[in-house]
Amino acid sequence: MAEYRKVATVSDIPDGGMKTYRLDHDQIVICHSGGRFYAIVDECSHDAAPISTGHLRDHEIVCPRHGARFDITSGTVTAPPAVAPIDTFEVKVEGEDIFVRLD
Amino acid sequence: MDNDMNTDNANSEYKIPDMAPELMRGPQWLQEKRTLARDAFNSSPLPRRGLHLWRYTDPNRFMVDRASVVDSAYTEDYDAVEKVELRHLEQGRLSGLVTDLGGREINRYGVEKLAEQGILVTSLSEAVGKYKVLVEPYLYRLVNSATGKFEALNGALWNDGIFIYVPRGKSVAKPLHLLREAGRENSAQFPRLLIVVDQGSELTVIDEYGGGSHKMEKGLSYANSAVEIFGMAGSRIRYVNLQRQTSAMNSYLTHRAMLERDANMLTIILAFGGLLNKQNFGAILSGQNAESNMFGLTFGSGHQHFDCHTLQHHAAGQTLSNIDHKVVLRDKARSAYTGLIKIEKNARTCEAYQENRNLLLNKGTRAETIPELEILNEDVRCSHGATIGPIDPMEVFYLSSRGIPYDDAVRMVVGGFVEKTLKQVPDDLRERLRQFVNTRLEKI
Repeated sequence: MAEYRKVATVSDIPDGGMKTYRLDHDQIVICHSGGRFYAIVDECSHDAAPISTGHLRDHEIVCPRHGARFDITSGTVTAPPAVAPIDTFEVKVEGEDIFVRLD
Repeated sequence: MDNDMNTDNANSEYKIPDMAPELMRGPQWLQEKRTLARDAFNSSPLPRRGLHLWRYTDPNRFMVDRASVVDSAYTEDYDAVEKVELRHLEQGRLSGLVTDLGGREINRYGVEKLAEQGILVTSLSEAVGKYKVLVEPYLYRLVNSATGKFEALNGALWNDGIFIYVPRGKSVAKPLHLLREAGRENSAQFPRLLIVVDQGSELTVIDEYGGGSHKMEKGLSYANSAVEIFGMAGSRIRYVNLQRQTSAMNSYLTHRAMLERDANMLTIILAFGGLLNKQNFGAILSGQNAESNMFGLTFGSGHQHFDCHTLQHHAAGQTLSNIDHKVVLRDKARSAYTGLIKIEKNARTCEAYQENRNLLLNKGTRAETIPELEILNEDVRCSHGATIGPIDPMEVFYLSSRGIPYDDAVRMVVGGFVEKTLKQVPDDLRERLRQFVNTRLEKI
């Protein structure tokens, strides 16, 4: 059975914003875009920089180092120099609480 | 459902309180330095992610709220390790053994013969009072608040450490073994080491860091270590740093060595343990003909994360430095290596070499390598090289096809990868290092 873990509350992250959290061994970033929440690993697949130090444009996150872009809904690359996707996590919201699926 | 969540801002606001008991330890001059370190720590911001040396490691993970940690006993494994080293001492393979239990208790074994020659091996807390003339000019000179926020944290809160002084013309050829044992879960320790090797003297030190929390769920343990080494004119120093802490431990270490004219130093870095391990090793060549050689071996597995920075700082001309740093990773282990060669404008006819090779044993591992050159004159010879690559499947296949089990075949290939480094180590140290390496390789 899928295990979810509470990581934040809705009020922690305003729309258009993002915040990082530690999930066991992974550093993740929760993005709030268009009223929905998404979770991806906080690491650019190009040079491993923390992608949370970049910025969010709708459903795209832009790495500040070399400009690589990723779709936060799927982790896929939308602009080079990155070529590999970033891992994503399933997110569910129950009331005020944001949960992330672990497996 | 588990609601216990670690955010990365858990301790980032921590300030060292004015009345922290560590600030009152030692003589007046030391208390003043501790207070300055406290002020520097409290007033400096946390290094920003993405900045130089913090691009791959989150500084929040080294923030320790001193008020939230407990003093805990060392682990049961320690007794076995101590017994082995005491046996080595009895067999005459060591010149002395010093145990450092989380900075709370320093024990010395077999150092009486060294004392007869005027060689001091003592706790830092004793040395700051008894040997002030030998300690005060050196303590905090190389690793201090100006080095960084976490160095300031150590500078303020170190409880006790080790002081070694080798007077002029004396030799400690057999290794002096320092066994530093971290406490269990939710413990924090701030080990400190000061070594002064006077003119024409020799010293070999094995500085081993072990212990730590055994279960992440119960809590991590933390170490923030500082090592300062001074090699006076014509001295010869061999320093081995062995990191074999548990996989539920975050460890931060800053090492600086200053080498005067004709001094020669060999630094060997064996980074095997810890969950999050950030190390910063540096040699400052301040006198002509000084020479520094560094050999590093990092073995990572599971979720281990290594972040190693090396500095070859040529402050004087006709100096030579060389670094050979090798990394082996498996499972989901990570490594970031950043090596800086810095040559000052007046430091002419220097030679500096740097090599970093990374061997990845499976998909899911990741290595970064960033060579940096800051060379301010043209009359130098420098080179650097870096490789990152997977293990050659043909080599493993060749061995497997001759009946060698897959895991053993991988170990043999890894053994061959690191052998070139071990061959460069002096004969009398090589077998000892090979034991350390083989013990770690068994778990790769």
